[in-house]
Amino acid sequence: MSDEVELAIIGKVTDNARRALLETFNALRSKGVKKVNLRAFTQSAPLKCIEGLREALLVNMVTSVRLYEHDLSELHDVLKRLVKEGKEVLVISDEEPLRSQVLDLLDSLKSEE
Amino acid sequence: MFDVILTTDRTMMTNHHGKEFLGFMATGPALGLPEPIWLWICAPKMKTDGVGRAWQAPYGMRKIEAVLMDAGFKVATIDPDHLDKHLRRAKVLLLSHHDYFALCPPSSEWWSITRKEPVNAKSFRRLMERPALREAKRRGLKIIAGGPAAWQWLWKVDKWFEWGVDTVVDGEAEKVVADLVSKALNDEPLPRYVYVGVDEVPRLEEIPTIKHASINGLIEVTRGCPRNCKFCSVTLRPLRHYTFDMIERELKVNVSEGVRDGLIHSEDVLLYGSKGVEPEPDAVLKLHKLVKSYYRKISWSHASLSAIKRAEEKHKLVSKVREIICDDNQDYWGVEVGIETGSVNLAKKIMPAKSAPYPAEMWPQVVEEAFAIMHENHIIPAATLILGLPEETEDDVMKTAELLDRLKPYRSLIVPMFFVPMGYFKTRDWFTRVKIRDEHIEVMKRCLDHALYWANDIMSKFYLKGPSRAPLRWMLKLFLAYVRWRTRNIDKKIEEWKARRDES
Repeated sequence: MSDEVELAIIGKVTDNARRALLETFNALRSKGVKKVNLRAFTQSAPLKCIEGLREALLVNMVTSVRLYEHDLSELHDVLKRLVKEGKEVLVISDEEPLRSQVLDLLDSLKSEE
Repeated sequence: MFDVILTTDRTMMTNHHGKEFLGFMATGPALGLPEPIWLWICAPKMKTDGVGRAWQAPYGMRKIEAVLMDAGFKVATIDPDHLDKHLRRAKVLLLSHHDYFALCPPSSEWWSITRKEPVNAKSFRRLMERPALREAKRRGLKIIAGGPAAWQWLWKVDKWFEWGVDTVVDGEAEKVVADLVSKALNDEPLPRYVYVGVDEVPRLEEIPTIKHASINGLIEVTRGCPRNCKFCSVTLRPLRHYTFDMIERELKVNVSEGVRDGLIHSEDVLLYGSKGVEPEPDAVLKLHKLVKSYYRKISWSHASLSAIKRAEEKHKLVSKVREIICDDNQDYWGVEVGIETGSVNLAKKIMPAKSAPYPAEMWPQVVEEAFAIMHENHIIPAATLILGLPEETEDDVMKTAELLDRLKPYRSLIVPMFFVPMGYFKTRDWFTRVKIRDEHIEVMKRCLDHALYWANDIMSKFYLKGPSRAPLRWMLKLFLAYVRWRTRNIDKKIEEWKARRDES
C-alpha cells in the first residue's frame, strides 16, 4: 500500500459509515499509510458532514489528513481524476445502490486507464 | 499593502504587562471589576508601528509569519485594533489562538463555575463578528485558522461556517501553510480541515527563525516530550532540541526589537539537550548562560517535577542555574508545572512516565521534594491539577487533597483544572457532562486557601514589587480582597450549592 491514500465517503455519514471510517482509518495506520485525503461526497449540509466525521478526525493523532468536501454531482469527475493520477481510492458508503454504483464506476475508470 | 494577514484577538495579542501569568486572568470572566479594567489588567493593548503591525506577537504566529516571508508572500502580523484597514486589500487571513471558544482549562471551569463566558472567548467572538471582516468575506477573503486550539473548531462547526472559516489546520504547520496560502491566493480549492501527522512535522532544519519579536521574548528551545502522558498530544511528536545557533538567532531578533526579558519555552526546560528523561547538565547550563547573555530577566515556560528533583539531586543543577539566572536584575523566576494528581494509582494509569526516572509509586514524594527545591531556589511555580480524569476514584481525589496540605509551606499557586480530553482522550464528549463531586470541591477549596495564603507574598515580594508596578499591584490586591470577601462564608455557600445540585 502506498504512503498516501484517497478515502471517499459517499452519501450520508450514518452510524455505520462512521464506524467503517474509524475501522478503515485504524487499518490504514497499521499498514503504515502516512497521509489520507478524505473526500466527503454529500448532498447534506457540510456542517452535518463534519459533525459525522468528527470522531474519526479527532481520534487520529498520527496520520496526516486532508478533508475535502464535494457535491455528489462531482463524483464522476473527481474519481476519474484520481484514477488518472494513479491514486489508490477506497470507498465507504452506507447507501445502496449508491455504493455498488460507485464501486462499478471505479472499476470501469480503472479499466479505461 | 499585505496579501496575507495574521492576527488574533486582544487577549492573545498582548504582553500582559510583561507578566505572562497575568494572562491566566483572560481565561476567566470579569469578576468584581468592569470588563474593560479586567482586560486592562490581563490584556493591555500592544504597541504597534505606523501601519498596525504588532510589536510583539504570539510565538507560533511569528513562526508562520517567518515561513510565509521566506516563501516570498507579502505578509504581516497585524494588531486586532488595526485589522479593518488591512482587510480592504488582504486576500488571506490567518488566525491563531490558545483557546478560541474557552473550551480548555481553566477557561472551561471558570465558565462552568461562574456561568459567565470567559473574556478570551468573548474577545475572539468580537473579532470574528466585526462588520469589516464580514464585508471582506463577501469580497472573497479566505480565512485559515490554526494554533494550539485548532481542534476546538470540530466541536463548534456552527461557528466554523457562520464566520466563514475556509480551512482549519491542526498541528505544526510549517510544512503545510505556504501551500495552503498559495492555493487561497490562486482561488484553488482548499481542504476544509488539515491534520498535520507525525511524518509531516518539520525537521529541526525546517523550523524557521522568527523575523520579529515574540510576546514577552518567548523563545522555543525544544519541541515534543518523551513522557507519553495519556492526556497530552505533544508527546506523540518527535523530540527536537534547537541548536544554540538557532536559539541565539531568535534572541537577537527579540533584543534588536527592544524586548529585553524573555521566557524559555519547552515542555521540560531541564531536559534541554537530553535524549530521554535524564537531564544533561552541560547543555542546560550553556543554554541559560546564552539566554541570560541577551535577556535581563528570564523565566521558564514549563518544567517537570521529576526533572527538577533529578537535576538537583544528581547534579545540583537547579542551584547552578539559579546562580546564572538570579542577579541584580532578578531574584526569582516563574514556571508552570504539572502535578495533575496526588494519587499513585491514577498516576500509574494515565502518566506512568511522568515521574521517570523515578517509579510512579514515588510520584507524591517527587512532587513534594520538587516543590521544596523550587522554594529554596526562588522558583515560583504555577502548578496544575487535573480533576475528573477518566478512571478517577473518590480515593484518588482525596489523595490529591492530602498532597495539597503537604505543599502548603511552599510558595506557589496551584490551579485545579477539570479534565479536557486531549491526547488519547480527545474524542470524548465532555463539556456538557462535567460532574463536580464533593471531593472535587474539597480540592478546589484547598487550592483557593493555598492561593490566598501565598498570593500577597508573591505579588508584594516578587512578582509585582517596586513602585512602577504599584497600580497593577493595588488593582490585584483589590481583586484579592474581593475574592476574600466573596468566599468569607464559603462553607455555607458550598452546602447550598450541593443542595441545589442534588435537587436537580
